[in-house]
Amino acid sequence: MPALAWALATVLAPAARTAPAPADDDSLAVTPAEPPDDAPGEGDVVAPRDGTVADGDVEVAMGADGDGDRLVRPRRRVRFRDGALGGDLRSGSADPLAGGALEVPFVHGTIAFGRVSPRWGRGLVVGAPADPWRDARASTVAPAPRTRSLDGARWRAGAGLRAEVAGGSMAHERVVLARAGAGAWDFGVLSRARGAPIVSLGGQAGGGAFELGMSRYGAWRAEGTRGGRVGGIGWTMRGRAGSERYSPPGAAAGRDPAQASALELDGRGIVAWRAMGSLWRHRSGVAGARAALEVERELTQHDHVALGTEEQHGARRDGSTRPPGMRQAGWVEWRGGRGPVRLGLRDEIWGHRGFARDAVRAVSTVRLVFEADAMTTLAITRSAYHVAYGEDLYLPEAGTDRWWLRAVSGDGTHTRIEFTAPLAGGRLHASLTRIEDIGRSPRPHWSFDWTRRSRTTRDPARAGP
Amino acid sequence: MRSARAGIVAALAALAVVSPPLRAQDFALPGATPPGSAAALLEDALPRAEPGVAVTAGTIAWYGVPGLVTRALAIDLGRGTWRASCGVSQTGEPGLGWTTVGIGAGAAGRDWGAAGRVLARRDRTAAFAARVAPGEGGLEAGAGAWLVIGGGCTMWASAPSLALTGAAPPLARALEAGVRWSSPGLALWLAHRSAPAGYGGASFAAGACAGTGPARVWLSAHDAPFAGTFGVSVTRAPVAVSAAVESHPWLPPLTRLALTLADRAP
Repeated sequence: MPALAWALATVLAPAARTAPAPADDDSLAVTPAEPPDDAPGEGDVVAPRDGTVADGDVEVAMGADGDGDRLVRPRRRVRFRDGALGGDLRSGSADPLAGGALEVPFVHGTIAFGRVSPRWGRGLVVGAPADPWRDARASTVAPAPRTRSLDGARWRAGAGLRAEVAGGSMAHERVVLARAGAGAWDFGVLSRARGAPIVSLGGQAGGGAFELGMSRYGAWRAEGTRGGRVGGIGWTMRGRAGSERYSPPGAAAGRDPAQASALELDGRGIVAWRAMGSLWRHRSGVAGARAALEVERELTQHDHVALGTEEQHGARRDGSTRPPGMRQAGWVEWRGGRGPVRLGLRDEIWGHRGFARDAVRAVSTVRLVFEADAMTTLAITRSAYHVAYGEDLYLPEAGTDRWWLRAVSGDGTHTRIEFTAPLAGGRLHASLTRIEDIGRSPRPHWSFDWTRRSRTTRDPARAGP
Repeated sequence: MRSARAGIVAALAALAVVSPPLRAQDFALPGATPPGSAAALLEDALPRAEPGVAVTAGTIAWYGVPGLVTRALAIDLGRGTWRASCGVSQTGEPGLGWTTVGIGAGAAGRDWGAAGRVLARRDRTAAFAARVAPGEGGLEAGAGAWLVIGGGCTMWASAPSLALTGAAPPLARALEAGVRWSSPGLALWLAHRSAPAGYGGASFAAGACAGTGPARVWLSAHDAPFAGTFGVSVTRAPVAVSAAVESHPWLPPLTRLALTLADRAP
């Protein structure tokens, strides 16, 4: 199926008009990333980076990457959307993201085959619930865990009165899902091969949403969220309660706290600010808390400065090997641009004493971007870091369709050079990375991607004069 | 040959232990405020804002270590927005030191600048040849940029050792970022410097420069450990002379001297 789609898209693409690809956000490149919850140990993580494909668009991509040895990992990808017909397929013998889904119209709705990612309500039963310690910062890479996706088929139909049926494998466990909804309410059942069925009741109204998940044996979890504004201050509250032995398919043991609450506030005046506080508890003696404040100021159209501080207590995961105790952090970030040059600086320090003293994790990053024109860019990102034993630090690298999250430790430097340019009606993105941890062999990594996005239909609204 | 280079490196390593971090080397000629000191395109990959031609010759005496003196010559060229620089530097005595050849290229406007630079080093004990035996020479490449952000402030960042190949440079450098505020007669700056290999040992540096017309005086200091610098420069077009002395708690001071010929005043 991927090969057929690839061939189809390759034939279609040359006749179509090229659309510009979205630009990278410099902030993402200088901000340490949060690894997905199913990240294996201390190793690097590859996570999908999914942009949207507009109706009528076909995107074809091919590329490869390697680590400086003889192993080259080629990959191909095709995405398209035409009304109810759509697809996202990746292929590559050594590509960890290989797979995808194809969606076609079927019986008043659509049916999708492959790796689909259904999400019910708050993600307590199907999907992944939001971590209480994560805020909605768009400047942080926080990919969702892949173990909660479903390999199989899903049919869904309707909007006001809706239905959904799916079946397949979720984290190597056979499951069958069925859900029906009307208006603001949804009711679903998940049947699984290794455990009792779980029912889900969800609803949303007036800026709030909630979900209750309960297994046949009485293990349950409920979560609700509500937001609003008071004067010039926006607020969002989240709360979760439930039993410790509640475990839906694909949920790693000790991943989701049984009880949690979080409050996020934001406002905008002379400066824009955002604050967050959260508490969570896995079981007796395994709990944590986080409080953070970030202040931002847009200096000019292109200049931006942000200051932040944060304090964390306890463990995020049940069974975490991270040294216990308090962590306090401070960071400053500045980005600016003049002419063809953009510059981004960020310094972030975590310490286990007040005012981030006795640093356990620190990283200083500089990003320099030179834009020869709208499509030709040279970017250099350099980080110097210190990571104490037992701590973790992931530095993000943006590809056209994925994030590489590089796990670094000890003292060292991370250097990445990226080049983008138009090529053969598409866009070439090439990168070279070198990580040098003291006491370890340097870790090189290279990649290149060629992407072409085209329109298969003429859209009068997007046509030129 | 390797032992000679190893001797120099050992001397510098000893200095690094007992002295302030030597975060500049072959073309670290005196400058009133960063960015934009003489030969900064070669040293920090930071191009001059002004176009034109400038020739700078200078010397650095490293903490009174006998024979450890750097002599440098740099030529800066600028036309339109393009900037280029080339230079040669020698450190140490024949048989013990090394020679560095550098080129840099970039672009700069009234309120921005970006550049890259490449340095090639070779032992002074070896005759120049097109082919270099393993371990006898090395290449170091880096990049930097600065932006005027308004209000008299300029931000800069420099990563002079982005890529290395061959023999390691005598002193490793990670990256530096800073901000400078300037007004007529006064300039203040603050910089953060990460340690050569990682963030551990990062330090801050700050300085002030006062002066109008042809004469300038500047003071700067950095921590880990604390050390201060005093410098003066006098300009009478087309000639500028700069000198700086950096103190040290235990060692003799580090002295820098530069003479610049430019077709226009900086």
